[in-house]
Amino acid sequence: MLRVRHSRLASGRLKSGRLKSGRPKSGFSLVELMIGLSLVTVLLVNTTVLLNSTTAATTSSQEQLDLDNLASQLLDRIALALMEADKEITLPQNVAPQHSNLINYQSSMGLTDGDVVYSDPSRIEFQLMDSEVIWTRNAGSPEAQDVVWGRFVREFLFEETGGNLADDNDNGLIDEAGLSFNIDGSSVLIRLTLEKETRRNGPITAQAWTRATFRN
Amino acid sequence: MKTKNTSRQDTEGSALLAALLVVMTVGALSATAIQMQVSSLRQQETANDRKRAFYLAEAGLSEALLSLRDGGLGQVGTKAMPAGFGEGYVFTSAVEDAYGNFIVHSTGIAPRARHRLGLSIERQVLSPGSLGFFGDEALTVGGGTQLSYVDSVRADEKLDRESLAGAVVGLVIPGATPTEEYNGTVYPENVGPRFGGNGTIDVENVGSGAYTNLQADVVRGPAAVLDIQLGATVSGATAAQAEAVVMPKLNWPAFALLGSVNLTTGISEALTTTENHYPNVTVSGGAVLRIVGPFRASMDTLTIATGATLEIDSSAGPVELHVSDSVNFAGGSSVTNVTLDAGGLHLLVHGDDSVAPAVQLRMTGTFHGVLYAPLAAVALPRGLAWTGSAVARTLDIPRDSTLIFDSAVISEVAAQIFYIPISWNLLAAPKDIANPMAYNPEATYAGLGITAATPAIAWQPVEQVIKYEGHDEKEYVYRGVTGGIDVDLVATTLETINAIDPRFIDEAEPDGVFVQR
Repeated sequence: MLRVRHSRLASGRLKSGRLKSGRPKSGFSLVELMIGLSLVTVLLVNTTVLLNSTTAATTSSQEQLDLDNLASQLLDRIALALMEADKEITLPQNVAPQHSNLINYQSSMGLTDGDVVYSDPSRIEFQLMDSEVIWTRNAGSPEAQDVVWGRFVREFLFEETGGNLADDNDNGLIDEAGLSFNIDGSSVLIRLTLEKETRRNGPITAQAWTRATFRN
Repeated sequence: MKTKNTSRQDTEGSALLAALLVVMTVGALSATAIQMQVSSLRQQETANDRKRAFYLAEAGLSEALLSLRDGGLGQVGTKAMPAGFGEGYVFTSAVEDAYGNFIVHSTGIAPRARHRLGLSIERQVLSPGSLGFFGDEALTVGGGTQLSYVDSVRADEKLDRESLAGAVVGLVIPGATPTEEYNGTVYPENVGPRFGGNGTIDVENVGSGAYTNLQADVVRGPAAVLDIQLGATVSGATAAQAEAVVMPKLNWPAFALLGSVNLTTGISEALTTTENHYPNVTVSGGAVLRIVGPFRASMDTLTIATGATLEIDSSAGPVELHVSDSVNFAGGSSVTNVTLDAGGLHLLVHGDDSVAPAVQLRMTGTFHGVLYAPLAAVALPRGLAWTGSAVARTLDIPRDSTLIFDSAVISEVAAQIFYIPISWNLLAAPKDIANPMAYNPEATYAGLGITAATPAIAWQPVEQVIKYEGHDEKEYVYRGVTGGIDVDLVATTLETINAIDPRFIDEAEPDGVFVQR
């Protein structure tokens, strides 16, 4: 429309200060306008739908990605800590189907006066109440210090119903928690499932597992 | 026609506007999606790089350990010139603490991440003599044998070696606690008296009057069958080890070929030129072959005839004899050690019994030293007092033998050195290394126009020895290239010995290679 008005100005017909009488020869008819508006509306609606669905898909994908990354980072952190542990003093020693949602360990800190020095007793534990992974130094003592390493841990591992004394997810463990440890000789199998409630898509889950070999 | 043309002109561009709108919307969406993908990809790449750096650091530790086991220094690449490996770089630094342990730091470098790991490595020395009286496949201890213990090094603190000669029995410390403190010195655990094997171990009970009395621990593998006859006494532990007892490997030394030695009756000759190969050494009756340490030699055969004497003088250093084919000490011959130092003679027999018996011992008198013949069957001579140790494929100790295990035999002569990892730990990479902008080996190598050496050829030579005090107020020793020391570890430099320093040369081999402990 702007282009039309500009065209009129440019044509010089308004320069004299009066309009030419009669029906203008340019512009849209009502029918054309309606058709045009309808098309624009359809286009806008489609664009909005497309935008919304794209945004939803992107958000969902991003949330899943974030949770996957969180699970991966948390698992790496746990695995690295346990790599430093001395296998002889790591408890509980659980071989499948036994499992535990906590692990007590001491890390090697290197040598002092020719002898290996170990860290204070530490614990990595899944706390169901807050769905958190807690690392504790000097667990059980008055000097205990807690650090939250991760959140959104699922009550039970992925596809595990829990409470039915059955191996629902067919991984050899029964009713295992969202963070479970199996010590098998010189290594530990760590399984983790995170679950997070999202605004659009309800709960999403991320699962990860790794085997960490004790280096000490 | 004019009106028609004007109308068409008036509507021109409206489709373009709509198209532009759509294109811009799709473009914006695409840009957002790409941005998110790029961001996610970067996150993923950084996570991958972290793992890559970790595994590069692990690879560096393995390479450093391999280097130490192969006689190197544990230094792989340097901070300035790290070794290239996979899609990253790695360098290690190794220092030795006051207890002989090596502390290795390995830094893995990936494009977006760095990781540093530490490994403490214990240096264990497995000396041939440390096995005591040992028969790998079979050990037979004749009835009436007396096995006791002396530490002539410790005895030296009370008596000189001359007086020890006549008083050795009085110095025997039956069942001595190997770790006991003596005159302020705590002795290591591995010096206790011992005998054993990985096969059958038969201890007979009575000889010509006396019952067998072995004041020693039994060192035996899990498959060893121990049979102690009723009446025989073994004072130490008899439990089997979890794994078979390891016998040190013998390495044949590459010495310069010299002529054979053949001493006839009445001739006395001293061998003092070390590190030669004598094909055959024969000493006839009445002749004396004197070998003065420090002395190392290899030979095909060593024959001491009846009435001949092999005299060892280890007062200035040990004598180490490698024999490839056979050792024959005839009846009536003697092998004497003027210092009475059991650690002063190492007779190392590489041969087996495939052609002829590799070891025949019928000499008389006393023997002070180590006999190590891991592939041969050995029978000790009857009536000979043996001080030191004897290790063979099969060992037969005759009745009424007098054996004295002398912990002085535990030395680094012909020893096999093991490097055992004892502590692995995570370390923080220093700030200057952790920052990829500040430290980028890829750019360094690109600037130099060269490719990084692989870890296997990036082992560092020793050009400098630095003794320093660390931040923990402990003393350490660095051996490596000049400027290769990790300065973050050093609190105070105590001493620096460069390659041009005479003290450095003093410690060097004739070929100028610094002796690595």
